Amino acid sequence: MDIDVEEQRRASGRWLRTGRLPTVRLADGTELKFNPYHDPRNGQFTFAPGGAAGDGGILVRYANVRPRNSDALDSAMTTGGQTGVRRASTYPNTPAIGRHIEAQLAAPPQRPVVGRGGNTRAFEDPMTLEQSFPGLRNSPGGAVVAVADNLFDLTGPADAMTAEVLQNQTRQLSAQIKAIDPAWHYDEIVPTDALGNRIETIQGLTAKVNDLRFQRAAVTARVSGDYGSLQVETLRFVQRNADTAYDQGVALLKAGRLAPKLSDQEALGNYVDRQVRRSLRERYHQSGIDSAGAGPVRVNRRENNSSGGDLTYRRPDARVDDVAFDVTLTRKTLSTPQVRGFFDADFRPIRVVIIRPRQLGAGHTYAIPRPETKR
Amino acid sequence: MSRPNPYFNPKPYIPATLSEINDLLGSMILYAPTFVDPLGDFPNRNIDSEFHTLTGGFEVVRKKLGEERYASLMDLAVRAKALFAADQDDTNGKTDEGRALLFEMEDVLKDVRNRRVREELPDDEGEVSGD
Repeated sequence: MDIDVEEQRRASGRWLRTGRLPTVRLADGTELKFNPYHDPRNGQFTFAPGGAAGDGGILVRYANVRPRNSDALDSAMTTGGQTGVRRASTYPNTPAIGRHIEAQLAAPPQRPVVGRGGNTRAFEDPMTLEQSFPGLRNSPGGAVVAVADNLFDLTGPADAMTAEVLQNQTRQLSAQIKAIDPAWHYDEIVPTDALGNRIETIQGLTAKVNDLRFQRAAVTARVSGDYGSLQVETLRFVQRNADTAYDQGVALLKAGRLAPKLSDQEALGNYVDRQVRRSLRERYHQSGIDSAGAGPVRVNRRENNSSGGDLTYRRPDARVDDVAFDVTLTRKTLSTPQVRGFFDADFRPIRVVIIRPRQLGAGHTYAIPRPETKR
Repeated sequence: MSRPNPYFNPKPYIPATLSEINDLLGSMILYAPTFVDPLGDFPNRNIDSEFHTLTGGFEVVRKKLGEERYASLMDLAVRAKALFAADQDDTNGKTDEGRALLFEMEDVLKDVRNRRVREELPDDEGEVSGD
């Protein structure tokens, strides 16, 4: 069956939650039944495999998503400690593994078309890292898998969002958290005008949606011990903070107001790291999560490797359960000793997520799955 | 009156180690003089809350600092806060003077951490890391 994988995932998620399949409409309101055998130009049903799209309808949102039954990603290669993925049909003449990785990272993802209003957004929310890094589940160990750009636009570009959409999201998120624990409630002080009407700005509502998403993840982790969504929210939180700190650091450096003792690049990376760690600690603290203890959520703590004769350790910027997060300006891969050190740590991370400011361009942030072979 | 949210910790975050304070200083250097969080994640963050967090951290690690350095850092914090407060629009140059005091604090912390490494004093995880 040839279905857009994103559509399929969304539909499956909705079916799991509600027992119903979604109604899809075109921009002009034409209803498309959830039937892969239709003509996408007019929404009319066709008999399988009829219709104009019947002979070639595989639509892949992201370049590194592997459609079912596709041989587009046909092998993994390892050269000199680096692992990459060969995309035979897309890059047939690029033998260098570095070029493959670069090409993979540089592939511009298309943003899904997002409607306004309604309640379908929840079903598009990535709740796991597998959903945040399309293709991650099927990628070989050590590969570099780029993050989905739209992961950071769940609240949408500010100018494209309406207060109504954001308010819908806050209501939906609140209901979801209450379903996890009815004792949860949201405390906030909203400014009001002279008539007692709430003054809510787009920026304020956006911050509230982000806050509720983080709270949903923290409550899920604390109630059920499932850290999947906290991994996603940690990624989103760290990325937003890294981006902002990077801009601020560059501005101060350009103005000569930081007087770094290191190179500008090192100093900038250092300030970004410190700002991110500080804010992340505070965020976890607010959620009642001790990020300095022995639990599975830790910020810049020692992660031992007791497998050798001498006890060694690494300090990822953050760890959430079985995932290590590293904030950096430089590209790091499995050939980087620090990354290998993370994988060798006793908590045996299943993946390392490298988070770099979005200003660094395509492929800024990516995940590296655990190498299959013992190192 | 409703019960408190069991998932919200109302106590302010206070750094508990020398390296956490160093991270806080890095953040403060970036966002002086107002220290407002541009992302809105921490809407209550301001000059007062930041210096409360900083001096609270100094208090926590007071023993590691020693009385002389503790007093020095507290004095630097008071002076830096006054400078930032006098230049909230970042227009009269006092923000740079205040930031220079934050750099001084970084140097004091670095000295303390280097000394702890030299003297092989363990951190709270039992490792000689300077913390």
